[in-house]
Amino acid sequence: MSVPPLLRQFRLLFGGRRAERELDAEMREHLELLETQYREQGLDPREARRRARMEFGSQEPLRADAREARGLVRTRELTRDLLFGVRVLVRRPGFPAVALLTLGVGVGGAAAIYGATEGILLSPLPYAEPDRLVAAWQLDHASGERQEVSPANFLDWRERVTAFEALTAVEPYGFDWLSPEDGPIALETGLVYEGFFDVFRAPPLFGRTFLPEENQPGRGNVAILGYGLWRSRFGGDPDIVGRVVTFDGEPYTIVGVMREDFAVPSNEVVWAPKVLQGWEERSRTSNFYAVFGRLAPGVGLGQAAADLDGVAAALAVAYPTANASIGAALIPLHDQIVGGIRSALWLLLGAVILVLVVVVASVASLQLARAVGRTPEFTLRTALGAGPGRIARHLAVENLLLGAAGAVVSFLAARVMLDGIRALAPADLPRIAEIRADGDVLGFAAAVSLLAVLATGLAPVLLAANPGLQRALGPGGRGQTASPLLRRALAALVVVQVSLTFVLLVGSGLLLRSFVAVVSQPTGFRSDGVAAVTVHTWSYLDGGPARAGFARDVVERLSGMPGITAAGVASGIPLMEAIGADFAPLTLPGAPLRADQNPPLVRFTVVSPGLLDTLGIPLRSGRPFDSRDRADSLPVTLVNERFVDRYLPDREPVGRRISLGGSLATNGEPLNPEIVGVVGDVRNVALHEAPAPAVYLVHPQVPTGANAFIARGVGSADVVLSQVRRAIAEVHASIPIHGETTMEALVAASVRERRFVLVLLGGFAALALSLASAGIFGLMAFVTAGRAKEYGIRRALGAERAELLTLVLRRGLALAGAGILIGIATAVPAAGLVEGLLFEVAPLDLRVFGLAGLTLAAAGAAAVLVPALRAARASPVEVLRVE
Amino acid sequence: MTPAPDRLHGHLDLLILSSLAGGPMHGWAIAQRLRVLSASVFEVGQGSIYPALRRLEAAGWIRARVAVSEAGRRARFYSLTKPGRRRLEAERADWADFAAAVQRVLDGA
Repeated sequence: MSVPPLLRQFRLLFGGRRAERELDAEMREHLELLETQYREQGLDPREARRRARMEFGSQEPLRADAREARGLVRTRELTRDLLFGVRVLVRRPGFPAVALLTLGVGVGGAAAIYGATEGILLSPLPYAEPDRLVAAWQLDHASGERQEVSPANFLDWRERVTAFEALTAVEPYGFDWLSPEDGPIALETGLVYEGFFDVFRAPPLFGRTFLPEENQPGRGNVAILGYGLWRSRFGGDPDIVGRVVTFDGEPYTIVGVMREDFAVPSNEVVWAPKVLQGWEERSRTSNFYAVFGRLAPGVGLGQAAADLDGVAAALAVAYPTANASIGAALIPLHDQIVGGIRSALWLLLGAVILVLVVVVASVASLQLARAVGRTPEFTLRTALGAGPGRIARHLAVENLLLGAAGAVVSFLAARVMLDGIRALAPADLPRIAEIRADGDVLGFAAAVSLLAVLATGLAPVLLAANPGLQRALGPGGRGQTASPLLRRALAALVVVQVSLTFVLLVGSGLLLRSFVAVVSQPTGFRSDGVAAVTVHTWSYLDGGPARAGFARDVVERLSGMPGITAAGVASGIPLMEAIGADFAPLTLPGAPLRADQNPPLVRFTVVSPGLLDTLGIPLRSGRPFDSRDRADSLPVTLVNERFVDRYLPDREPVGRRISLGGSLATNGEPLNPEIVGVVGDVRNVALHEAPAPAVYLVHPQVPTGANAFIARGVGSADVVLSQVRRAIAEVHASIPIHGETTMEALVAASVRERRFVLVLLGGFAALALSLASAGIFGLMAFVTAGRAKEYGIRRALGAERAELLTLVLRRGLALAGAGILIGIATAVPAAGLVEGLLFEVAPLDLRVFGLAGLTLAAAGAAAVLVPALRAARASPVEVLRVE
Repeated sequence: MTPAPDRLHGHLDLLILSSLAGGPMHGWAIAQRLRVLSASVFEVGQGSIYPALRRLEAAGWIRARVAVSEAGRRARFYSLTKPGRRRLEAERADWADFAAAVQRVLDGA
């Protein structure tokens, strides 16, 4: 029976020492026998030994031969090659250092971006069969806007659709809770319908999800914690299940904790069963449900959308007053979650590819130049008996070593940069928690580094293995210039680098101009030293007078605090969509609507008299709100300039009445306030969105439960913030805080995503620029060094230094110019792709293109200056001496 | 004729395998057999059979067992394995084809 091949190989490998001894013994014996034979034939011992040796052959190559035959040689020589490779790399650390730096920054950065985009964009949502998950919205055909779903519509949808396995809804809510650390606060809460967690097929981390009967009245006092909330507010207590917690003054039993990656709408929330209120079953006009569904098996998105559209159309017929223009929209859940950041991430991914090409080109030219520089070494080693295969193997090992080191360096760099990305990323970047330096990032960094080094290392290996090519590329002999073939190869690499750098520069330039344009938009309000704290008083203060009294007391107390220069209260904060963004249908007396027209919705904010002053919103005409405007006086309003432009362009607005319905109507009667003044426009939604028509109502006349107390002080906004909190607590000790912010933080947050993309792309462009400059420098230094003799002869023949200088400069700039031209040809179509991310800048912005070209030309000139000066300094005497 | 090592090299495996077809032998005996049977044509570098033996062993075509030789010394005796026997037959057939082909070309000339 023969030994299994693997085992045999193993024995041969590790029984190496013994095998060698045995071989020696066997050969020695053979020699002795031969010697004996010759002695027996009568030869003297010395001659016998000589003959025996001759006949047997030289022992050393035989031993080597035998070792090779045993396959042992591979490991032994590999170790030796590895050590040799390390020695070669360490002895002249310049090349590996530069190559590793290039790989670390370039590939590391790319891997980090890859990690981020992969986590957010590409990897499937962490739910079972995520392709079947959708979000459903009401679609208002009149305005084309998506909106949340009304309770009665959701109930009808759920009952009538057929293409879904299940539809479920979550109602955004806030549980009041007494935090041991922060006092009364409101927790972001999701009141969920039956089967909510089953739609996502999301198992809990601990405990259980809700039972169907817990959506019945009297059974709903159970809650499930989101992972983030459990960690931040409940200390990550593993025994939390079963604990009773007081929410909204009632005992709730915690029955489960969800996993970290369950984030609908985030993992910083608490979920409780939705117990349907009687009025909700009939409510079609107030829409506040977020609806999710799982498609039935085998049903496509189109089919499901058609199904839901049909249901919505039937409801529009059945309930024309509320639903006439209401349809439905179905969006894949992944699209909904990733939504806004998608195009930015694709842009970054595209930039990653460009940077990678630039990095690979850099490593390639380093490798080429180094291989050619080592030609004498290879020649020497060939002369000493190393076969071409052997040298190629050495090079391959060196490259493997370098690639492996590159993989490690770039992975480490990627980890650092991913941390940077997380720190820089907007906090509300979707799925940010899922980004981590995991196996994928490691794999990406390792694969790209190895591939980059090995692919670019191929040329030198080919060179070493092919003496003919070596002659063609290498310097023929003393004083000769590098071969044209090599120069052309290096020049092509440089041109590629320059052109791609141009594209990256143009992209960054466009984003930078957009960013500057966005941040220089007038916000319409003051943000220095201004802070806001939000509370909801509905459950704590009953009735308009009590709420108005509370608001007045807090504002009064605030105004009396040291350092506070202005204070007020508002139902909403600019740039903070979530709170109190309220709209009411507007009609203008004297301009009746046609029957098929819906009244336009206008944004309204309820403010105290001092609020506009606190935010520095200027009065353009008329009078501000003041103490004359009381609950029992005639209702008044202030409108913004955009409102006047849109609705009252040719008329004097002050003194006119408008009519506001919707939630502002009482007993079906709209509110009919008189316009007493016009104020400046405020960017309420986002800095890049033009202000919309807006009206302000005054607090005692329209009591609201949503109170954002806003104050401006002489000190820092953070001090003001704590003063606002204190004032609220002094007036009402147990009212929970819903949110707090400084206005500067709000403004910064609103451009964070833009800044995030800009910084990353700008970093890439800077990296590419430095690599391209290094490429030009390297190539021109290489070329001029090879031509030192030519320059010397030119000098001897009477060429001026300036002529030599311009000669080299021209050559370097021609290289940059060629790259820029190709770059322009590439950037023109590429710029169109980023159009969606631009603001007030055209994709083909001449200034950006021009500046990118100038930057590259300047960088090219700087890079070529040193080689050019060196050429100009060429001395004719020196050249003659060398010859 | 000049015994060329090159000419031998490609066929050494075949020659060793065929030597072992008759039964286990040690290295010395194989070398002597090759020398005698080839009328000293293959005499160059008897030592070169040892790398060949190691190669054949690594390939699994022969295996070695340490035993006492006729001269009373401990020696490695090589014998054919089953795959080695198959290999020998294949190589033999190849050689026959090759030799016949060469002969045909020479005859035709």
